[in-house]
Amino acid sequence: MNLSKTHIAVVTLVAIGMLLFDWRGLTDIRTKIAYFSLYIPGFTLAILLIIYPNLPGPVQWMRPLFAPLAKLLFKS
Amino acid sequence: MERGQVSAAQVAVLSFTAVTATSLLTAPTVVSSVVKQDVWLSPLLALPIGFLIVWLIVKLNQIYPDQTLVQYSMKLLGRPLGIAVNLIYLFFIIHTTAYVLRQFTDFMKLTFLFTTPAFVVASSMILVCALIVRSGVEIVVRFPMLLLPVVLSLILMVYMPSIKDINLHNFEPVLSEGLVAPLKGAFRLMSWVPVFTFMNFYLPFVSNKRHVLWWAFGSVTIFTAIVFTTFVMVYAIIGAATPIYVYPFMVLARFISLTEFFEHLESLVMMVWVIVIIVRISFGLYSASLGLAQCLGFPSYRPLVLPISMIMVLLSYWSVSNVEFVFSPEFIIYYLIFGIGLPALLLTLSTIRQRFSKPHNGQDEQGEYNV
Amino acid sequence: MTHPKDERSMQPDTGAAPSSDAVPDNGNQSANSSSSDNHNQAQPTAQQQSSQGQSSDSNLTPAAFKPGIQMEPTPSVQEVLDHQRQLLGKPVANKLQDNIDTLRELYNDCSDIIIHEFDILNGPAAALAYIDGLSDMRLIDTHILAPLQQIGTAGSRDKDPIVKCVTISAMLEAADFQIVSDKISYGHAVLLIDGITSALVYDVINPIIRSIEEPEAETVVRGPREGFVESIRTNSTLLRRRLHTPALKMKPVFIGRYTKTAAVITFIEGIADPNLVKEMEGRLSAIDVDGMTDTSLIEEWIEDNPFSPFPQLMSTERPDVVTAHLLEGKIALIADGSPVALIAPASLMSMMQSPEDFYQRSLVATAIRWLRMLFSLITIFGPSFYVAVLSYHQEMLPTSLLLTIAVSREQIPFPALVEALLMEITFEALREAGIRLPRQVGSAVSIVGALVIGQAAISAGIVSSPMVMVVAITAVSSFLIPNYSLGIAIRFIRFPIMLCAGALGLYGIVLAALVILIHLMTLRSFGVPYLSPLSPMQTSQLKDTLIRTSSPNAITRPHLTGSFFNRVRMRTALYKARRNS
Repeated sequence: MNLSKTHIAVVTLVAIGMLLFDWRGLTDIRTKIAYFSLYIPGFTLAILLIIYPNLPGPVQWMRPLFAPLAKLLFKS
Repeated sequence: MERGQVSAAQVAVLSFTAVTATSLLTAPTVVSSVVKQDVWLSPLLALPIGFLIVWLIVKLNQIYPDQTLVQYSMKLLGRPLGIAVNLIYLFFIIHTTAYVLRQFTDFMKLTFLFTTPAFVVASSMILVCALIVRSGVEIVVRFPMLLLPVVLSLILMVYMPSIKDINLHNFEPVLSEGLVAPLKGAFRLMSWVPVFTFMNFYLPFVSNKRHVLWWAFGSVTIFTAIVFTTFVMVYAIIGAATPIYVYPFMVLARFISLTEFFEHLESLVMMVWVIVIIVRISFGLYSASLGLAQCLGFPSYRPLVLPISMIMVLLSYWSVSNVEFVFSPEFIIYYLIFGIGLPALLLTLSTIRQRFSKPHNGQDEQGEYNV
Repeated sequence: MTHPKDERSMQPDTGAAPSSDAVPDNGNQSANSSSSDNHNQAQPTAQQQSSQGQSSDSNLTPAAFKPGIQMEPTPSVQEVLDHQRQLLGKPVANKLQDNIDTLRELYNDCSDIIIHEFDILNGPAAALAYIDGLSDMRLIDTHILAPLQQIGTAGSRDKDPIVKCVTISAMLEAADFQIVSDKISYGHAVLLIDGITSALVYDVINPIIRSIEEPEAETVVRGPREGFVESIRTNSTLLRRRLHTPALKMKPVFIGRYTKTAAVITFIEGIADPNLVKEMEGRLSAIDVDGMTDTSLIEEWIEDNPFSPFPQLMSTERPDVVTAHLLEGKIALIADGSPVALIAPASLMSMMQSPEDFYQRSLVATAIRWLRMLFSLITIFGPSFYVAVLSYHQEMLPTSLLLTIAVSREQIPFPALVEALLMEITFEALREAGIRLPRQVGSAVSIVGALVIGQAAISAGIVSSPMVMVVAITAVSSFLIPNYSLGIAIRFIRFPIMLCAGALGLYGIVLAALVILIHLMTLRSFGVPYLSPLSPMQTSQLKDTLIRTSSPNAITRPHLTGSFFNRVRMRTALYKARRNS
């Protein structure tokens, strides 16, 4: 992802669109909390991924976790 | 929170369409790179494991008829541990569905839409799936049922003209390395089969629960049949060169030339794949949204659908340079833990609970029938 | 016709809560006026007290100007409305002169009201009121005035001899001016008699209607050529001529405060689900408007999803179509002033059927049905497919065709999407203009539009000839859809699909088609899923959607929804016995 500014603008637009679409459905405070606890990390992750595409992710820690078990069971 | 009613047949069609989705395109490569010419045995050897997984889920549903895995795991493991395990399970669902999305985006960019940004391809797909999921469980299960004839006829349209190119000698020598190789292949197929566990989110809404087990077994059987046919056709036509191609099914479609007019029918493959991947992603997205809403006790799962889909798009790109590792053994362990391990653990826990709390009965929800 | 018992339509419009006349603008405005309307007459004092209690300090504010939308009528209007309501609420008085005065006040500036005062021979004084043009004056003269003035009542001042004297059979009695004015407005003649506290209402309506002719939008080659007209009396007669049974029920509903449109819910008792009738009645009774002029406006109020482009009630102008649907257990809504009948519940497949299918032979009709469905698909996906293949998937075309198209597109400055949009929009504009053309110019413009513009555009290098071909085929195939509302919907959804095709190619078409499919799957018409025999798959009902089974095989009626079952509509034992012997 090279053109940072366009990408950030597009992602922000999409995020705002999502919020507008869902705003009606967020009636009580618990739903709001759940929604934003998914939305805000998602949004920040999106922006971060545009700026630093090589952010280490879940794959990085999953492979070493299962590697010994894999070697034990199967060696192909 | 969800008051839809579905039938066992619809859930079965949904499950096998979803599981067949990703396997159709990439499974021949993955399995044949390990197994060579005995590739046709691997689906047959994977069939019992599929039966086991489905049986576990249905049995658990018989004990807790109106509850999904998220709900009865909280009941069985206690609240704090249950919520933790559920969150990891939901992360597993979102994670695997994100990788399906990634495979799909890669396929589209590699074969058709070269210059479209991957974000556009992925978001358009996930928005359609979010639309399906937000419309309710009835739409999620009716959708594959409605499109099943289309999918099957398009697949047949790719197979029928290829029949004349079948060369059965490609399968010789049979079982040259013994049964070890097909077993390895069957193990590789475990990248796809544990997705049958997502069925547990739909079983509480089934109205005719009496036939659920037979329909579930039927869906595993049909999945095996389709994968078997695909393996046979692909290996019979392309032969030992199968592991070289990333998408052997596409190669089949490209070969078709009927009267020089119906050529280059890979667009048909693309249409089939889009429909089937939508089914798979909505299968996973609905499970994740419903599970998260039930785990945290929310009244409705609908507001959670769009944030989860955003996270799926992000996860499909986070530190993943190519999706080859999804078929690696580590990931298969990951799949098997949540596909067989978790339901088996829950089933043992519930049987233990039943044994030890037999004197004061009536607290647990018991089904009226047993398999 | 029974008089409108609907309480809401009895009151004139008063906008927001009517206050009593004492306080012109006040603080106690309630949201809905209808309920307070009915109570206003009975409890003016209670309201006066409450209004005066709340607005004791707002008496000083002038009533004239308030910023924003004026929801309450200005006081002068309020006075007029109150005056009207007061007049309408009066009962028929004993003295004739009072009644005449009330009528004259009510119909103050109406030049076409005729109030004819006369004396019954050897009897009391009387007055006859009617509206010139709505009532048939010949009937009035020969059947009301002539007997009363020439034969009379032989001295009696009671009602019965007068009733016996007048030789019109359709008669009602009215006790207050609300009913009297309603009846006069429909065209009845009202006889007021001195000393009798009820008015006699005679039905002398002068029917001014269009003659029955074939509807232009739904023509058949073989079959009846009758169409509904604007009078509800004629329309219900057309239905009665086909269903000679007292089981054909017609429930009256009156919609609109000023139009008081007479609408009728027709159904066949014993075949139609009573819950469906109740649901329709409930939805109609929730309509509280000034006026309702056409059934399409009623449709907007009663349908499940007004924002969908797809019609959820089937509209037709043919009585044979309505009859066929009534016999299948659906209900129909006919309104005065509109030749279009609405049939509920409707499914997509029922709107793709033409009455011609049933008047032709079954195999031929099946083939035509498949043709129709194929061409509907071409209408929706034709231009999009062209755009997608030319922009993204050129390898799908055979080489010779590809070369020809490339040659013809070489000079075109626009990409395929822009060219397609241009042509399609132009064609839609031509079609719209063609509806409004005067007859004399119509044929000339169609020739101009088709040949000259198309050919000229090609030679000017704006569009290519394959594009004109595609647009022409699309246009012709859109005429194969029998139902006009569904045809418009299908033509309309072409454009978003074209845009998606231009953006993402064949993938875009698949996605857009799936979005539309999902929308259709969630749509319901009076509880029946829109894609009904296909989507919640009901194999027993497939025999009328994809194929047209021959009539002796269509043994069961469709089951729409709910637990009301009356499936068997024919018994073919005798027929089969004859055929086999």
